[in-house]
Order: sequence, then C-alpha cells, then structure tokens
Amino acid sequence: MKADPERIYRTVYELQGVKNPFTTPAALDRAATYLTDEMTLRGLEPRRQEFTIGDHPQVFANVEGRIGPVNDAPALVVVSHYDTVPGCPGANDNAAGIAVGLEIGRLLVQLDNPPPVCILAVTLEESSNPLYMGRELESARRHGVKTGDHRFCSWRSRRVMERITKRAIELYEGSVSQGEGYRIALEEQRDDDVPGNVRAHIEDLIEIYRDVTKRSAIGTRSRIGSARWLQEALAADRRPDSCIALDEIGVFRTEAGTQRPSSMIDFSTFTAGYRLDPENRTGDFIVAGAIGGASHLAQSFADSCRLPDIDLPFGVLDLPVDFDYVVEHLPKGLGSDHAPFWQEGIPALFVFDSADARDDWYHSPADRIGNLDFGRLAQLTDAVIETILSR
Amino acid sequence: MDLWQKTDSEELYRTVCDLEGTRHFYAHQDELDRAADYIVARMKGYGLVVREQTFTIGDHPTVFRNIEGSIGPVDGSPAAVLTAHYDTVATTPGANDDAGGIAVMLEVARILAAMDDPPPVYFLAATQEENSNPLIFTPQHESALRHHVWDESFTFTSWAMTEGYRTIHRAAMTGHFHGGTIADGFRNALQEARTSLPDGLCAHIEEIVPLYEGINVVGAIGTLNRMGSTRWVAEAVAKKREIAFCLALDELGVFRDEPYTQGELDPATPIFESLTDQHLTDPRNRRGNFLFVLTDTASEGTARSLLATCRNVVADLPFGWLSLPLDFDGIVHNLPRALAADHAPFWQAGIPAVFLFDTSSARDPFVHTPGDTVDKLDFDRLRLVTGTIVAALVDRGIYRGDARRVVS
Repeated sequence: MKADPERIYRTVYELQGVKNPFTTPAALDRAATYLTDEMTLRGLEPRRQEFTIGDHPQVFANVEGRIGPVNDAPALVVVSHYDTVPGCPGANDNAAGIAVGLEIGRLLVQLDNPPPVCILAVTLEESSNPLYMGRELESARRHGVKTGDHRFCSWRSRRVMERITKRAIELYEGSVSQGEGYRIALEEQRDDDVPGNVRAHIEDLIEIYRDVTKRSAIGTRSRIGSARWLQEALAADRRPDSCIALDEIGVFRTEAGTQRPSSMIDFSTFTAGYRLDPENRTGDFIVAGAIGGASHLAQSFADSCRLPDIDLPFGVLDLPVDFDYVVEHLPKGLGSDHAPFWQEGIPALFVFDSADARDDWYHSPADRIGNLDFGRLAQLTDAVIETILSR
Repeated sequence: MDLWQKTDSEELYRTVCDLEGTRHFYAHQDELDRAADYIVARMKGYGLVVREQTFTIGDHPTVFRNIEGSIGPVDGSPAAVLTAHYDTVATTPGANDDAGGIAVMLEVARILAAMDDPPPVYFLAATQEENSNPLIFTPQHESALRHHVWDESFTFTSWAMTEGYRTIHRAAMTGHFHGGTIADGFRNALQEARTSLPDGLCAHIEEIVPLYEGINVVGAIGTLNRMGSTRWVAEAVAKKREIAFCLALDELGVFRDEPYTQGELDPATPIFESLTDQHLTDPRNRRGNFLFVLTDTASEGTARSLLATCRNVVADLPFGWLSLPLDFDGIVHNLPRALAADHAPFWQAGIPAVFLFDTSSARDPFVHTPGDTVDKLDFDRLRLVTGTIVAALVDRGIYRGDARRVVS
C-alpha cells in the first residue's frame, strides 16, 4: 500500500484556484461539491456540515469523510482546509493538504479493518470572516487606501500601512487586542507620516478588531471551519481521539540557503530531526509540531518517516508546554487548524513545510502546482498512514 | 535640491500599476499594443521626439513595435541609450519584469525633459525581449497541447510530465550553454531519458527539435529572444548613430532586507565573493537588497563612472558590481548566462553597455510567475536607482570616452 503521486497531483490540479468568500464565493461552493464527489469515489462516506456567519448570506461547508468504526470509537481526524486568501490559487495553501488527506482516505478504506478516521476538509481557515475581513476590505475601498483589485492606491499608503500593520500584529501577539494594537501603532506614527485616508481606515480597523485577541481569534477571525466542526463533534459526544493537521506541506527545496532563519521553526529549535542539512540551510524536510499530550504522535510520525521505505527528512518540534503557554509565548504556533484541537486539550500534530520560512510564493498568485514536490508528498502520505496505523 | 532628488517614487509606482498585466503576443496581444500606446503617450507628454521601429517575424501577422524617445542633441554628439522591455512571458503580469525598468526609464525622461539643456539620450522601450518568437513559441505550445504535456494555462498535466519536461529542458539548456545548439541539446537529452518518459512527452520533444535547429548561444540573440533590442542596435549601427553607452534595465525592483534572501546566479561562483566592487552590501547575512551591476571589458569605464555617482551623490543605494574581464567572445565561451537580457546585442556590437538588475530568480521568486505584481517592488530603492541614472547623465562625466579607460 503506497501513495500514488499522480493521484495527489490530479487533486491539486483540479482544486487549484482562488476560493475566497469575498472574491470568488462560487468557487468555494464548487470545491465543496468536488470534495464530496471525490470522497464518494474513494469509498469514504461523505457528510457536509453547513453553517453561516452573522447575517452574511453565504452558506459555508465543511466536508467530512468517515472511515472505519467512527460511530463506535473515538476517531483520529486528519484535517486540512480548502479555502484560500484572495488572489492566491492555493496549490500549497492548501490544495496539497486536501490531496494528501484524500489519498490517505483512499488507501485506508482498502484495509480489511480500518481504524476509525475522519478525513476532514474544512473551510474558512484563512482570515475570511465577513464580519472582520469583509468590513476591512470595504473600509479600505471606501477610504481609497486600496483599489477594487486589492492594490494600494499609492506607494506612500502601502509603506505606511505595512509599517502600522506589522507593528499592530507585534502588539497583538504580545498581549493586547488586535484593535488596540492598531490604535497604539497609529499613535506611535508621526502625524505627518500618515495620509488622512490611511488614518481613517486604521480608525475603522481599531473598531472592527476591538475585541479580537490571540485566544478569541481561533474560530472567529480565522480557523473557523475546524472550530465549528469540533464544537459540533463535542456537542454530539463524538470527542476525537487525536488530530493530524496538514497545511502547506508541499514545498521542498534542494538548493542551499532555501530555509530562512526563523525564531520558532529552525534547525536549532527542533527537538528531533532526520537527514537535515543545517550547514547549507537546505529546505528539504517536513516539519511536525506538537505540544504536551501529543508527544506520542510526534514520536510515531518521526519513527514512520525514518522507515527505510519512507525515508522522509524531518524536523520535529515537540514542546512540553500546554495551550496557555503557546498562546502567551508562541502565538505564531497557533496559525492553523490544529489550534482548536489544542484549545480543547485534544492531542494534535501540526504538519507543514515551515510555510513562509521556505515557501516564497506563500499567499501570492504564484502559489501554484509547479512549486510542489509530489515525490515528497507521496512519502508524507505514507508516513501519516504509518502514524495512524501504529496508534 | 539636486536634480536627481526630484525623482518621485509615486511616479514609478503609478507607471508599474498602469502597465501591470500580461503583455504577450500570444496570450494578450491587446495588452502588448496597449502598453506600446501608453509608452508613446507618456513620452510625447514629456515632449520627447518619439519614433516607432516596427518589424515582423517570418510570415507571422503580428507587427512588433520598439518605441524610441529621444531628448537633447542626439544627432550632434554621442548619445546615451536607456533601455527596458515592455513585453512579458505568457504567464505573468510582469511588474518587475520589466514594467519596473520602463518606469525608471520614463521617470528619467520626465526629469531630463524639464531641463533647459538636457544631455543626449535615447529611451528605448523594446519589445520581444522574452522567449516568444512566434515561429517557435506557437508551434511548441500547440504541440504541447496536442500531446497533453501542459494545458491552456501552461500547467503540466501530470507529475510525470512535470519531472520529465524539466529534466529534458534543463539538459537542453545546459547543452547549449556548453556550445551546442538547443536542438542538439534536446536530441541528446531525449536519447538519454527516453525510456523513463511518458510517450506524449517523447513525441512532443521530437516535434519541437526542428524549431531549435541552429540556435546556439550567439544565434539565440535576436532570434530566440532579445529580438527588439537586436533590431534597434542593427539599425543604429547601419545609420552610423553615435552611441556613447547603454544602460540596460531589466528586473531591477526587488530588494529584500531579510537574511538569506540572496541566492546564487551560478552555483560555482558565489555572488558576494566574486564582486569587483560593492557598497553597503551584507555578505555575512546574504541579504538580497543591492542593485547588481554587470559589465564586460568595454563597459567597465561607464560602470565606474555610474557607480561613483551612486556612491558619492545618491549614497544610500547598496550595489554590487561584477566587472567581467572578458569581451563578447569571451563571455559567449565562458559565461553565456551573462547575455540574458537586452544589453547582449550592445555588447555584441562593441557598444559599452551596463546591465542593471536585481539578479532575477537568484533573489526574486516571482520572476515569470503570476505573482510578479506591483506589491513585490521596492519603490524607495527604485527611486534611488533612477536618481543615480539622472545624476550621472546630468553630470555628463559618464559620456566621456576616456572614462572607459580609467583604471583605479
């Protein structure tokens, strides 16, 4: 039983394209239908979970494929998201995660006695809550800070906005709300540096993000689909056993200097590693992150990658800390769909390629299929299946 | 205020925003023409003398247009040429490649046009710099579609096609850099890899081999690409125009301040370690935040003068200069990759030409992708590049022939 790189390629090829509630809402719906059909084809039992946000008209959908005795035993959840940021076709973020999830599902259902597993494709992982991002985009247009196609109307506006946003996020990752971060960042600028329309826009952002904190953002500003799914599962007394989140897993680079220094994910921070090349800073390995309670998943994933017929280079960050510690000290570690699981105390492993520390095309129109290494993705699929089976 | 300080980053920003969009004869002929019209209108708006050099390729119906604007006494004294290209590859909006170069060119024109006594300068907005000869591009694309190598959006149809085509293409290009033709490169690569390739790919490669017959490193200049600039240089030589030197601007807007953002142009020669001169670079952290300047022996003096202005007048722009101790033939044999833009036909004609760029894919991951958009460019740095060119032209030291011979 081996993963097929061509099947993974085909899914990414079909799914590549902007899927965002503000720019391409119909594409989100089409993707949900496609995923339902693909799960049926593979023999998974698909189920849609639909929800709305506030009075926004669009119906959002998570799609879940069930394998094995999921009604009789707590399931392991393999979660990945299919929505994208505006303007980004999202081959690596995160069609690749979806494609590997489907391939895992296809292979697991062929077993005689498959373990209870949910292959979960979620929506709205990105910051795309209409109540926040929708209002932000509307404000940017109304004040002429950005044009309809999301370009800044002037170089000066862009420079000031980038400076203020960077500072606001820094403050938010410290201890204040995102709105308060904008307020302080604006106050720190010299008055004559900030054009009037940018100031008016920032004042809107202060209001829009007034109550958004590192903690409350999970499931409200972003990571919405996964949080909704988990709420429903808990309410239905179907508490998952554990979770493996796949998000941005496909960019591997064999040239020197392709793994850029990062304070959190770097050669020096890993608690375990295999076939790494710190001297040349080669970005040719997968990363897995775990906190207290998920050590067994990290260990098992590492063992699987080391198997001679898988042989996938990795760096593992297995931290003996709890969720509150991560919120306080490592907020960047909450950036994907594993966060709602950590928040509920469910063991979760976050698997990724280190995203923007390596993937230069992250969140851009160039996030396309040609950047992905499907040989590595097939190895990763095999490693996740091994991890699931050795549970 | 020095004249160069009147250069305006908002003007640069506006030009790139206006030009952004795929400008390619096959993918968007309308955008290619719209860009030419736009450049003509901007040049006329500044009062430049504007002339179009049009040409066709084989029996292909498209009329390609080089746009030339001139200022100052270009008929009475040796003139400078500022050149950038406005065409793009088929898959990119081309903000950095090369709307940024056009923007710098137009901003230099705007500043000089306001002078009572401007120096003699030709502004050449060239077309067809990219690999888009219609006699090669179109049949190749149609063959690829027929054999399902890639689809209408140039996306490979499978992983096997992706890996196979990349292997063959890399081998063919490497072969031609070692002196052969691209056709031979494809043929040899196909022979070696045939059994491991999908059938459709073998058939496709066999079909495209004849398109590349006879195209080696020198033959590619003006045939495979660099078609507009090659024709302009040929005409200038035929008309015996006096050209003092050329500054070629192609992909020069991406500057990255984070560590490890500067990759290598050639794995065998580490870029920082091979620089002839540098100013404010950071080799230890390998920051990709400097203007890269490339010259052959004939253009060494021009670069020395330009960079003295950059260091002493503009001051804040980091640069790295690689002065190749080679003439055109030497570069063809030893470093053919250095011929990759519109400076090549100038070097070939023995005209001093300084190539100004940001090292392209060694730093800019978005080159030739849909992500080459206006938000990737640094318009503060681009303004300093523009200012350096203005200051050097206005000072006129760069025009003096003897400057070319100066050795410090």
